[in-house]
Amino acid sequence: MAAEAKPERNIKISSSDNETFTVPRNVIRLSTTINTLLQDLGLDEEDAVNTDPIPVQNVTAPILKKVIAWCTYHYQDATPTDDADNREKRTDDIASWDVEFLKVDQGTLFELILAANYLDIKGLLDVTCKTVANMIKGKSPEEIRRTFNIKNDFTPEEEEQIRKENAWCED
Amino acid sequence: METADRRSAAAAANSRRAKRLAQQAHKTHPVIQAKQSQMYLITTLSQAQTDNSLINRVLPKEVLLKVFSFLDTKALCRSAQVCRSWNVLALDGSNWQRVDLFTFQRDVKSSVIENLACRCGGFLKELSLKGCENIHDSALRTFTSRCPNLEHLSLYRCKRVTDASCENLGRYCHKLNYLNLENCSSITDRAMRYIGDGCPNLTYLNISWCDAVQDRGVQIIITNCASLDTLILRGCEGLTENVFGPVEGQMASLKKLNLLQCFQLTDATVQNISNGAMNLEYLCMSNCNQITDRSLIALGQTSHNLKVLELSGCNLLGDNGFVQLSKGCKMLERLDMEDCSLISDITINNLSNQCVALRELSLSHCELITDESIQNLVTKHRETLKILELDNCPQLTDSTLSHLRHCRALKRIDLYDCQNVTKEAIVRFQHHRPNIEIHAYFAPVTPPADQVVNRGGICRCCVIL
Repeated sequence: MAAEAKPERNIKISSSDNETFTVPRNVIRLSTTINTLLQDLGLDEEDAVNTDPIPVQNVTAPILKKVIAWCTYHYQDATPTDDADNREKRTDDIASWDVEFLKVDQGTLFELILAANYLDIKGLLDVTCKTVANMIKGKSPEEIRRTFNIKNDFTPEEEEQIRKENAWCED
Repeated sequence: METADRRSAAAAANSRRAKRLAQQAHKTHPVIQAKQSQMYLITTLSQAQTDNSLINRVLPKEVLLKVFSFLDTKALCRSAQVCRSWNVLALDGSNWQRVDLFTFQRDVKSSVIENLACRCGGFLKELSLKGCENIHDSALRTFTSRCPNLEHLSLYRCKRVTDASCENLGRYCHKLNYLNLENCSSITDRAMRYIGDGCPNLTYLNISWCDAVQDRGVQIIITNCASLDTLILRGCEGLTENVFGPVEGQMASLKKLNLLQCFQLTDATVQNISNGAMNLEYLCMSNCNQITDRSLIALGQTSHNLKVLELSGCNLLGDNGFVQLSKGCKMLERLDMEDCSLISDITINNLSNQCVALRELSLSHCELITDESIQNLVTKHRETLKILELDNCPQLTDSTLSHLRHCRALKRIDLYDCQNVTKEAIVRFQHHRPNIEIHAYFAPVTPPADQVVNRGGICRCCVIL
């Protein structure tokens, strides 16, 4: 009860292009990187106020803004468990809010993945990687190349060889 | 090519050094610093000079592998054909540790098995062939010989699998710890011998409905697999009452034992279990209808860790047994007494008073139960009771529902065919506790005016409410 009565603590973080964001402590908790840092530096103590913003040097302001929006929506979610049942390769279980949230261009999506990886936000990393996996699933090699603008760098001989090696998966 | 590589490596090293210096200048916290240098290292190394695609330029290898970890077998094989760097990624061993053919194709061809086994090789740890009914011993021979590191194998409903497959499992897969052979109905004691000899690390074995397996087979497994904690023997009708007799002293590792519908088992079997399996937490003896109160007394004496006990259809059990059981098994969380029609309020009162952890109780068809014992149950388990099945308990009335209103943790109540519980009482209950699921059914007294009744799968009361 005493803990709840305390005012919501805010944390300041700054993007690579030096924009500062103020985020509730409870929200930024989802980033294991920042969470660990706050604990290690003793910034969770009562008297730790008005410190400099924490630099998040690999993430630009527009991406950091989106990351914070995602964390703000999800901060009350149950922590994902890592047991055997959860290791299923499912990609059809993306919540509708996340589907809408991730309707962005490829560049933004990849930057979000990098940010989630760097800030160690497991839920965001999973959902963004699943979104990319869904862009691959059900497509032929040529369709995948077109989706991501990937150049076919096999020689014709190599390509034929590799096609043969993988033909067994086509029914 | 070589000089180009060297040049790019030197450039990478330079840029890394520059970045490190920049970071030092910023005096960043060590955690962030470590993360950053780790990330730059991987990005720089994975960059292909000629590749213009955003995905390959932006995402480092470790992150692409994370994306690939969500791909199924087919998508992986197709990704391997996209370009050189994806070929390397798609064939990475980390993608081939777990294979589930159930989602891949139903009628698995032997060529597929051959190729898959080849690709997975020593990486394969988990294989599910659940429902691949056409899979033969020859296919499993391929898998077992090529994938010796297999730890987790499900052959559920692979009906053509025989002792020969188990022989190969025992010969090659010594690391196996989980084996599901449910419905592989042609396996016999010989299979158990091979598994027992070759897979001593087994912790989970399911041979449900393998009715050719006899006492000796189960005994070999118990003797040889010292860390076995789960043994599922549903419908193993070949087992006799003496199945555990000779191995009583070797059952201490067992935590879960399921003997559903092993008709030949008797009080003597339960006595062996309670003597030997001191750490048992889960026991199902449903439909073992020869057991009597003597079984419950035996369990009450030694099985103090029991949390779940399923006794559905054991209709010889009565109050005497359950009184002793509740004295000894105080950790009980779930108890299924469906069709134990001899029990009365005495049983419920004893359970309520002794077993404080009780969360789920099935009393279906326990026709002697009255409102009074439910009231007692509610008083003692107000904060814990979650699920209560009371269908076909004809003596219960509306007053049971008013007691249950006070159970804070309650999630579901079954009330089918409780003739003395009225529709009005259920509506009132739903009004007070809208989040509790109630299952009930009321036959229409007069032919219904509107025909919204027939909604398959949803009971009438749910429609009304």
